[in-house]
Amino acid sequence: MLVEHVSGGGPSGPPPGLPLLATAALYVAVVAAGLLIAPVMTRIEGRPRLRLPVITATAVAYVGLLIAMTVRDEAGPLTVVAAGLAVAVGLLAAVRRSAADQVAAGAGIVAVQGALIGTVDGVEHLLVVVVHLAAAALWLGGVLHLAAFATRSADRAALGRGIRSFTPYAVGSAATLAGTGLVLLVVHHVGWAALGGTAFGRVVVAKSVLLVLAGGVGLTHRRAGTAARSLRRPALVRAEAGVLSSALVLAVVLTGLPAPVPAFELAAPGLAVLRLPGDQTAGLFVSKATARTGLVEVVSPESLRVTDLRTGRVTDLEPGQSLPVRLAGGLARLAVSGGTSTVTVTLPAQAAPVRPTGDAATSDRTGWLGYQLGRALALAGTRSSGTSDVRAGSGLAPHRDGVALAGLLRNAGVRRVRAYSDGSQRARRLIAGLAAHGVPANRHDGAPFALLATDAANARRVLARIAARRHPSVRGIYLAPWLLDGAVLSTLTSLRLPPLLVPAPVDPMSPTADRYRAALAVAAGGIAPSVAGLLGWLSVVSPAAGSDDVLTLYAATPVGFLPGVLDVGHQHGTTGWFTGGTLVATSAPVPVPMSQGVH
Amino acid sequence: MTDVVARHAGRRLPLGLALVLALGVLVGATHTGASASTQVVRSIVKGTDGKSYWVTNHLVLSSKTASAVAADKPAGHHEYLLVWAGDANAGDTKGSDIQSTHLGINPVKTTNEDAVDDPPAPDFLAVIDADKGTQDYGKVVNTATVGPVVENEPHHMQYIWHKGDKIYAGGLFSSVTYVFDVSKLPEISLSGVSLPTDTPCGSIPDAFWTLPDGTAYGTYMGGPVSPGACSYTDGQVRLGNGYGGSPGEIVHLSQTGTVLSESPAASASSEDSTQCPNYPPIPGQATCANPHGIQVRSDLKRLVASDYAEPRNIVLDPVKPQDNKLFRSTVRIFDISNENDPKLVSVSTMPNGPRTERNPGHEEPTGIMETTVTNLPKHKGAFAESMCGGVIYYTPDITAKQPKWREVFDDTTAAKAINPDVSEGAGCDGGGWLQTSPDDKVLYHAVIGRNPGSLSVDDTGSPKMVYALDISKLVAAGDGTTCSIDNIREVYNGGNEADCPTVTSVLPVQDGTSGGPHWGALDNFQSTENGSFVETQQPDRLAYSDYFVARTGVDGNHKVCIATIGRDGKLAVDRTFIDENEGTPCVNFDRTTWPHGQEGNAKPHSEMFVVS
Repeated sequence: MLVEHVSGGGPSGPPPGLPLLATAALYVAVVAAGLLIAPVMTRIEGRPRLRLPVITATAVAYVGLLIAMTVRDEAGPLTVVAAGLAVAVGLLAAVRRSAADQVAAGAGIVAVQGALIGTVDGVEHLLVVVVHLAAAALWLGGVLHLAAFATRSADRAALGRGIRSFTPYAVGSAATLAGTGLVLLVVHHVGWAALGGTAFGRVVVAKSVLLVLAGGVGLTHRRAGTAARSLRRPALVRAEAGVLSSALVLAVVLTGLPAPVPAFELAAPGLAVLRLPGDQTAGLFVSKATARTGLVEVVSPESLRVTDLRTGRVTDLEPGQSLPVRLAGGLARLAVSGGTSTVTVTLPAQAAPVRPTGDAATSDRTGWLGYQLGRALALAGTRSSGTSDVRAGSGLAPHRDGVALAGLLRNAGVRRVRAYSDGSQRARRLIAGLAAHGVPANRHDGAPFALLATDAANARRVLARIAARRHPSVRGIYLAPWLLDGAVLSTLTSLRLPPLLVPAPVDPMSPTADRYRAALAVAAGGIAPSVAGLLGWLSVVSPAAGSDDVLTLYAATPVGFLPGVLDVGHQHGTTGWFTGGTLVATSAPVPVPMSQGVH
Repeated sequence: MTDVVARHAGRRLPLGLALVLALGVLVGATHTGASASTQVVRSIVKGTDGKSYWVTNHLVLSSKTASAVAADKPAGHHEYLLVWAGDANAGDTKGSDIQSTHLGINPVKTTNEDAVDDPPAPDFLAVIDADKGTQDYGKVVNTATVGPVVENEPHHMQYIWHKGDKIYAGGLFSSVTYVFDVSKLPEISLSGVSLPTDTPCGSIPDAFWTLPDGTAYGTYMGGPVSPGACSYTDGQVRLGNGYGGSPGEIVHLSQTGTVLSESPAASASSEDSTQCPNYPPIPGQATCANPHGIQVRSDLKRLVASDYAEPRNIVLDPVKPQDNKLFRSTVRIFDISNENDPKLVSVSTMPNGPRTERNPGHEEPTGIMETTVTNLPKHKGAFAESMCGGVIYYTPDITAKQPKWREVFDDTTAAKAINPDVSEGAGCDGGGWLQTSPDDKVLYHAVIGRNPGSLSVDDTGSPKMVYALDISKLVAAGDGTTCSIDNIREVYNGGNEADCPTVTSVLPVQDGTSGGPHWGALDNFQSTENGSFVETQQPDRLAYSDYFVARTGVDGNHKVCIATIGRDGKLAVDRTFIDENEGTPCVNFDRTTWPHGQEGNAKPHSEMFVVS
């Protein structure tokens, strides 16, 4: 899709792809190849005494450029040898007037340009570029050949025949040029705004205008039916040659210009990586909540000011915070600022958000977005379109989990817990499940073990209060299953806390979970991994996971090992659940009962 | 006049066809590249959780021994250096590469397309050819990756390997202990695994020591996996404050990784809570029992374990430690008459030394990381060293009811050989590996060092080094030893007493990063005339790993080096032990490509010489 470009003086893009010598060699090669192939297309040999010196001069120029590139280490020796060989064959074929050999040589010269360009942008991209160059060589070469060697007054009849013979090639080349050019625009994300708003775009427009003009001129002289018009043919052919040559010059200029930089790219459905002025990037995740509303979450590590341009609402968002926005046609229109300047973007929301079967992990906004983000990342990895044939996946059922958690606690010798609850439905159900199976959870209980059944933000506050107490009476903290969240666990590295344990329905240290965390770290570095996100990920890559209905208890521990003065250089940096620590299974899996009871 | 295009067909070989063929050959030539081929061999065992655990060998077929084993032929007598290495995490290479590239790349696509069946960033045992003089000397001939657990944080193995032994290797983060079979070197198979749920009364495996019957003891530094009471194999009960806390334990493992026994490292009664804080406090059972180093004298029926620190609560602030006593000062000795029931017989607190540090966390007996025993039957002593105190202790008799430990050496004395103007030469200098020579004449020690400015603007830092001490007189003195660093001048000059250890050699480790050598291993093998290997009492070389865990690998050294030990005891880097990619001394674990793929930098934590 054509993507928006940063408006109003956006950042400069990457430097041009080819060095100067390579650019010059490229276009000399196009001319040389075209001139070699032209006799076959036009069925006009051309005046050898004129044609040979021109081809020779072009070949010499090309070889000279290749030598210069080799000296400057801009071309590999094998590539240069291949190109030289093609040129030599072409020259020899031109002398011998061997049409087939000249075609082969011309094709060889164009093909070798592929080696010079390289596959840095991908093999498919290179193929499109080579086809584009071949089309240019055919069109330009044929017209130049006609203009240079067949426009004397004595050649008029032959010119007409030559034009008719060349016309299919010209039309085909023009169409191929236009088509491949369009493909290249799309691939390089050159949108409408870029066409008018950047130097690159303006040159593209100018070049396109010239090509259309050349086509028009070509159409004119090819349709010359009257004698008068056929008299004008040579001039028109020369005009067409001139226009095409001008287009070639613009192509050279284009190669030297930086490609416009897209305002954003989609790393996953709904996950946009924005390019801000000053070479900054920012990540936003847009999830559809209803047909007309969505949620925009900052997923990169820096805070952003986000304005919903449809409602005018302005909000400063920290990483992980979100804002409801209005959608129109599944698109959110936003102004995003990283501090000094603002970009305006229209972002597509993640299509078809899915709700898991158990919703304890997704019943708050953070969990919901985490789940959808996990799904989006997994969909991007599997190149799936995210259609509804993917199962929603299982989630967390708080009452049943409470029952299972009671079993885990009793196995650990815990008979009652002090509950920190936010009063939400999932918290009440979890506590009810615990109590129903022999582990009462009471807020005012002086039990030595605590249970946190709140959302992530409140959990962090409770943990800070526990850490701040001078007489720590809490000997261990158990988290509700939905609090398997890096944002909560990271408090372990900054607060002195009793041991923290959390039950999990899936293995958070499995290779699959590792891939989820790695994908999250790369594409959404401001978001901590969470069980909601992991369940979202699994719903795509392994829908059966999590459906075993078991809970396993994991200890979350920061493992410090060295004092600070020695720790520098020994950091156990990780894309794990939290820095400097890990989750370790401390129990066998306990089945989550299937019977419903109170949900 | 214009001419119709002439057609010249068939009389001469078309130049164009020749050109096409020529171009095809050239294109083919540019895409032909040599790459080292590997043979993949996997060994799988079932854990007690019913899941499969494996080690996957990637035998480099260009190595004679690896290709022989791959072809099921005997590899002959050969020596290797095994290195237990952690992979730099998944974000290290891919993330940094992606962040620096053009916006157009889809990082998620890249990450997922690169994923293979094995975990994205497996830890592994590297098998390095250590047979001096062979053409593969220094080459990695196999990387045996473990799975499915990733981010184990590979830590230590046993200190020394004897023929027939299994390799016991622990994961600091995963609390998994792997037991490897090395009977078909360079191929490695998995004999068993011990999972955290197999050792409910302890966590964070640290080091191991094998017994003559092939079983092994391991120190588990951290507390029981769940806070509260834990029952050990012999029925004893101790209260603990949870995973990574206290008390740790001694675990006896079989050759298949089965837990034969769990024994408490803590005494039944409470230790001094002011000297042994725990967080959260363990009601009525304060303890310093966080065993890290372990060595055994089977003939004396004694196991010595040094207490380092409560792992969950290491204070990372070097200037104002909240409680420096979380770094322990104790050494424990166990009676292993019943090998499945080690009994704690003594807990000794290492004495303070003559230094008065501004930072109490740098006092001499802070963080007793490692211990090593004497080896000859007539000697009964043992050494211990402090990581943050920077000194070495000695007791002449580990069988005594109350062993007497004295400080016998301060790292400052060795540091001055490199920097005579060192200040605070030992305080938190990061002492690690400690090992007696088999003939009890030499003591080897690795010190991470401290970069200038670490403690303060005027901090000179402390050298990164491996040093050797002559301990022959000390050990020979037996119970009559008098060596004691109890005078401030002895910190710099060395002990005044005649039997004090003296510096034989100090090998500075050139390292511009913020870490240094942490671990080492003596080469206890010598080749014979027929090519086989026998154990020797006088090793002529040692290996040491420069131990860094840097997120981007930028400030890491990650090298494993070999140092020769001259007849005069002098240490020198073996410059023929070179990296196969760089051609310079030491094998660099910062590299892109391994036999198991382009997994990037790795962290070599510990090593050991083994032979086939």
